[in-house]
Amino acid sequence: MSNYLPLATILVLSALVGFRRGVRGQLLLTAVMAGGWLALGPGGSPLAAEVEKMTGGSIISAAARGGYSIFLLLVIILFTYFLLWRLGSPPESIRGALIGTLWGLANGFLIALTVLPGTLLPSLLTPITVGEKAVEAMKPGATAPGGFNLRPIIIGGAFILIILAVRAIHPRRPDLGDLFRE
Amino acid sequence: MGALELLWFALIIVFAFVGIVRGYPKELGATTSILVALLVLTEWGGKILLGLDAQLGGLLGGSFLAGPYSNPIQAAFYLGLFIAMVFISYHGETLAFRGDPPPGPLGVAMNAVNGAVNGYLISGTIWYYLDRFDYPIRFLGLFSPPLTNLAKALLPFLPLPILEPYLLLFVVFLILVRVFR
Repeated sequence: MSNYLPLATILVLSALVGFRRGVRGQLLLTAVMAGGWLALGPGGSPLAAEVEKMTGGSIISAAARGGYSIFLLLVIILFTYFLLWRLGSPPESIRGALIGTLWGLANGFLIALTVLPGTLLPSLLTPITVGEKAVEAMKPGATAPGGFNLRPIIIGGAFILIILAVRAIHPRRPDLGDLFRE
Repeated sequence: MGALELLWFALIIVFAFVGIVRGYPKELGATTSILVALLVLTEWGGKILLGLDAQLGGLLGGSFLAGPYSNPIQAAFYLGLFIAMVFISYHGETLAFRGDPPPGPLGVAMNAVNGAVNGYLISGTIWYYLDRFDYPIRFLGLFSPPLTNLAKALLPFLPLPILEPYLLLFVVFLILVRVFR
């Protein structure tokens, strides 16, 4: 279950930015991700090429080159998130905020797919034999075959409730004592 | 003493009333502190206990974790630390969110729900550690096993079995929400 912690963190933070900055900001982020992915596809990173040139090109494997591309893409995405958080404007309505949250979740999923493919698509990376599957099923906390683990959804729901509750807090009014003092 | 689960439900209701009186902005601050306490206990509780055992074992002439009173001592350590942290979280403002709950029934309901959540976290954690160390309070005459069927069914739904993998995430999230609200 703890393997899903980074994935849940990415989804929650992305949804939080979506809630705060609305759908426009998330649209921008999707565009940055798509452009970044096209420019920095595996093996196409200028940073990787520079490092390879400096080190003589012999010690960087193809997998590491892919790693540099993903690292550079992640830096760009984080920088865009930072700019969006600091400079973006808030959504005009609660509807905009909710659509922004959903879009943020989708963006978070794309980021996780880029950075943590092993968590989302383990079967594509490591073929699992029947024996390994049986061992996985015997681990404590494993979901029953055909079953569905509701815990992440409940935790996600708790996060959304907390955000809504915090947004509903009214700013404190000054009491009469403060007014007289002023 | 009656069934343990009845006491648990009663404590949750009492905390819901505490939440109504205090307001959920304060209760959310207490929730954050309680989750930090749970994180400290689960991540470092065992290590602290082993360190204490190594240090004090030499003075006492033997490991107290290997002795006959291991369970009561461990329960006293975990529960004492947890209750002290909860006391601090309820004492004063600590991490309380600034502001007031919305007026009307919605605000009262939110206060009650957050208070009940804190009650679930506090009394559920106490129950979890009592169960883990085989109910050392039994020698006080407060409770004696066996548990009822309902209590056995409730054990997997106590806070630590559910929240342990997510504690760090919750703590970071609540602090972020408090800072960037």
